[in-house]
Amino acid sequence: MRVSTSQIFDSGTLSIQRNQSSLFKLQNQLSTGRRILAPEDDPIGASEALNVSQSISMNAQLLDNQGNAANQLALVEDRLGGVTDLIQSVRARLVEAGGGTLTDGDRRAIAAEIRQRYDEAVSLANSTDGDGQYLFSGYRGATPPIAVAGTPGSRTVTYNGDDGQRLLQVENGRQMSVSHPGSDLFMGIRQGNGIFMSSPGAANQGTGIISTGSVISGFDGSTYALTFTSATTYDLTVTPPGGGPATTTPGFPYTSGSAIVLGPSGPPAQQFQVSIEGAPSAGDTFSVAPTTNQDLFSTIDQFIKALETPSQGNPALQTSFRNQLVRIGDSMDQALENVLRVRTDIGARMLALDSMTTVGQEVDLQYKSNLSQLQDLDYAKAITDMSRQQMTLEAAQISFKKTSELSLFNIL
Amino acid sequence: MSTGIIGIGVTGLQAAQLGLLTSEHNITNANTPGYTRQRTIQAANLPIMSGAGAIGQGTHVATVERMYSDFLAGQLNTSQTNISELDNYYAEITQIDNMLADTSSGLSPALQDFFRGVQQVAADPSSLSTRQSMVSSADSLVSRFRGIDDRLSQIAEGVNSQITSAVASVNAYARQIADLNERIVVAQSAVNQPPNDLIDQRDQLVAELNKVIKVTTSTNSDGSYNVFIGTGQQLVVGVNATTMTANASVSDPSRIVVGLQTSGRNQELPEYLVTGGQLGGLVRFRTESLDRAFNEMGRVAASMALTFNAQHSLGQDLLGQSSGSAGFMPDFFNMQNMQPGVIQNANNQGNAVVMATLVSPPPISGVYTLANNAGTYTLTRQSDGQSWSAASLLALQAAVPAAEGIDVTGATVAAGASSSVYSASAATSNFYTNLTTSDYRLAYDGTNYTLTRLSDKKQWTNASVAALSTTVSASEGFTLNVASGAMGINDNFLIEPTRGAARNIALNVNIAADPRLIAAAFPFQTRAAISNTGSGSISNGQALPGYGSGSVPATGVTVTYSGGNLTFAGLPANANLSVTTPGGTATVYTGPTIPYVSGAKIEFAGVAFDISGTPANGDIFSVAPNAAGVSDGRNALALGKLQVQSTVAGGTANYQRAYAQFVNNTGNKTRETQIANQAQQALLTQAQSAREALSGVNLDEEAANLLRYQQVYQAAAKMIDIGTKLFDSVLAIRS
Repeated sequence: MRVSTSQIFDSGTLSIQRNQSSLFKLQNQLSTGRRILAPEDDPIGASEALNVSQSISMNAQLLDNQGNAANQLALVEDRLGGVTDLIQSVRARLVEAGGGTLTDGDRRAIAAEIRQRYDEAVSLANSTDGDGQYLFSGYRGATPPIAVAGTPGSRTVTYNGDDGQRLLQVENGRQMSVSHPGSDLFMGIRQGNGIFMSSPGAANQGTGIISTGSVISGFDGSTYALTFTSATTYDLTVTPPGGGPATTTPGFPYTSGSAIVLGPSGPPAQQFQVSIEGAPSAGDTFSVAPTTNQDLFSTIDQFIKALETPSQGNPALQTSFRNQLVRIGDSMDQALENVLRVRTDIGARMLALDSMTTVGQEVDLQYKSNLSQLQDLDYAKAITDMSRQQMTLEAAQISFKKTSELSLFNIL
Repeated sequence: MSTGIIGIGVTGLQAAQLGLLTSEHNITNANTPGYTRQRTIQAANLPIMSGAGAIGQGTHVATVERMYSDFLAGQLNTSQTNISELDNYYAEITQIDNMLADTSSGLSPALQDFFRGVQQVAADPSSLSTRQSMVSSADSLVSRFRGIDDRLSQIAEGVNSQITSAVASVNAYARQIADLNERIVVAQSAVNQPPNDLIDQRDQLVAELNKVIKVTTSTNSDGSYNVFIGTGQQLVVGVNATTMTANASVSDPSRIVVGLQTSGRNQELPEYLVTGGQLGGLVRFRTESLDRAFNEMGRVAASMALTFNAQHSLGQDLLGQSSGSAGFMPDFFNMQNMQPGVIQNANNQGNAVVMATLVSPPPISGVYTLANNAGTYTLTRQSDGQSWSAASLLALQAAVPAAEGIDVTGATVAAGASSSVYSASAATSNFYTNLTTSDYRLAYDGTNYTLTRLSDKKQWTNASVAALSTTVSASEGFTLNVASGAMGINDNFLIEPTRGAARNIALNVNIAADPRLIAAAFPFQTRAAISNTGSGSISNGQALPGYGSGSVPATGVTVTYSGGNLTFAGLPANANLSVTTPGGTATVYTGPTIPYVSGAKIEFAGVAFDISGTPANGDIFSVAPNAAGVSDGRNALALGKLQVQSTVAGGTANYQRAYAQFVNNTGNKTRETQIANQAQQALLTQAQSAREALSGVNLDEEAANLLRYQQVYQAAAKMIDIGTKLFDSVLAIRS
């Protein structure tokens, strides 16, 4: 083929330019460490890298949220530990107070300590986090949840928070509550054994003490009233749930300390048992009714009131005191159970957070290696490419020099 | 005899001289662009016939020939115009490509930071500093959108000014070709020999013109060229050149388009006629890539603003204000300037003012409105406006497809009232937009209005704009209306739903000034009464579309459990209860008593919650206004979730993916252009070699030719010398 002189020069420069531009690109890749300098180098890789970087950022946010949640829960858990200790110490004093040999003065001394405990309980319930937000007031973070009115022994407590659970996004598609409303923790606590509540009549004159009782096969929600007609017999009046006509069966024999089984024998059987110890007087009453709810503070306050009521030398008052201790003990047990239930739940959440964080960190590594594969340069390959490209460029330059030097005019 | 000898010698001398001249001409023009190698065509002179036969009379140069091939030159021009188009396309699109190159400067990091800010507000809604940082990150997101749009606008302006200057050079070339035509015709007719160098010059001009726009040529019998563009639009005819213009388009004044000045008026050239060369590359880049880039960014911006606002409007701010409160800010992003652009064609005859509006609130699935209009019940699906009507609820239920998963027979709606009802998907679905990346054209032919989606030419036709608007609002994400006046026949409007959105996205100034106005909470909260003795619990609840100021009265809505039923008190007027049992479909009840199913989703008037567990008789749950709920971040959580939910393109992509798709498209297009460019470069090199092989000057060849003609010249001189000597010998004989 005929070749024109300018073609020799043109193609020479063209091939040198091409080699140079490849070399320039390699040099750019090497100096930035990036395989994709612009989306055109690998459009799918470039857009995928964007998506992966969003995944990394979101994962980092979720890890932050998990850390945040763990801190919040740890704070709540710490306060609940305080509440548990408090309930247990009040419970211990309760056992001490029931010792039977205490004087009014001894009991007042205990009462003084329990008064402190009451204040401590309120301050635990009104705990704040680092930002000054109340921990147990639901969504009303700026409102102290517990307000106390009245004087010791006859105080009432109002809950000013709400039931809101503060949520954090801890995983894609999973929100976790990092708070627990005080309404559930402190306020709505069952009484008695959690199902029914046994109690003596307020005007009892004898020394009968009714036990907490337990369920045998169920509880039908009726109210059972035991009215003693003599020291050894009582009448039973059953009022069905929601009112309705009461039925009275007279003449049950009484033996101190033996189990009194109540409730329909079925079917369905809904029987339960209580026992009465001591010597009730004629006219004394005892009742078993569905449980109602009471807050922890009132329970403690009742304990204070009981302790501060003098009963020395008065068997009826002493009996009343011991009956009250049974009721208060039940309530404290229910409160403890309630707090432990919440703590277990929080513990489970913290455990879940732990494993989430472990997984999240692993996923982070995966995403990062994924991103690195997508956009980072394979240096070994790039350097090899660079040497090869360099060689080609040199060859092009040398061959161009040789070819362009050849001219017939040089010889003429 | 000797005169013959000298005469023949002289013809040889002359021919060799011409040969030498031609070679020298070739050598000196070896580097002249467009120069075609010339050579002398020598022919023997007519012989003298004699008894001894035909006696040769020497030689003469018949013509000086250009070593030229129409076919090869044409091939070269085609390759050249293609590569010039691709080069220009590539030069423009790499600007976008490079802008997106840095992963740390694109939209992604700003988007991620913004949602990080939202999450932080969700984690600590009562903190003013987290709210402030959400506002700041929103601010940088907005400026990132604007920054990218600015850069695109600069590229668009660059395209406009390049078109203007390219058109100027087309006109200059056309004028010169017409001038050369004239000189060539004169020169050729004078000596009846081709004016080689003039023809070279003209061919070179055509080649240069091809770099600007693809042209075709035809040769007239007098040697002049006609030059055409597009499908035969005349640019040069003989000695006349048509003026090409670069003016603002009548359909969109922001675009400079190419036109031809014919008989005193400017005729806009449709873009498909402007092909090849710089102009072809610029025009194709603008329609294929640049418009799309604007619209893709705009779609992300508009979709984000619409969906974010829709979710934001369901919330309650730190001041306790929510939907219906005087100071409540439902919109986080200011949508005022983000509405679609409508550009009136400059040639419109009518006086219609056409408005286009983005569909707001954007669609969400699972939300319906049940209305009673004077005894006709209508169920309308919020996501696309699809509705079913019947004279009774039973008949309506028969008309509603089972796939909707909703049973309305138990509802009650007073005449003239309407009620929000919900199907199973309502609580888990999210807002999304149907916006596309295309522009649209609305045209009127005297009877019908036609809306054309420019990307794929899909058309909708209707005799009324309102009906047309209803049709397209469900699928295209915007509505149309004629605000005033009437359209004339053949009037048209260009509608750009997303083009300006990235440029005009802005924060709500009130929220920017007071971050307490961010609606991070939901406006109601759920409660279980402290006196409850059962194990039933009520979920935190969620606000849905349909929530309004009257949804939850100040005294709250109470739900009392008794004997397997829930009884509602305090429900707002016309509220119906939509109940979806786990895994089941939705059943609408009038209330106030509904059967209790643990975990069933209960929805009324935009309030959604569920009650699960085993409540005891008499247990009370309630839904009440979220008074003092400063630590509630439920709506912020819902806003944060939008980041990964499918909110764009009819609910098929999230913001990030829609942006990544744009990056991918741009990268692909750039790569495609580059590869086409490389392929075309190979073709160009081939065409160049082929042309050079024929027409290029080879200096070695010319050196050889010089030697050859030198030797012929010397030989011819020797012939004359011999002739002289012969003559001398004859003279010597005489003396």
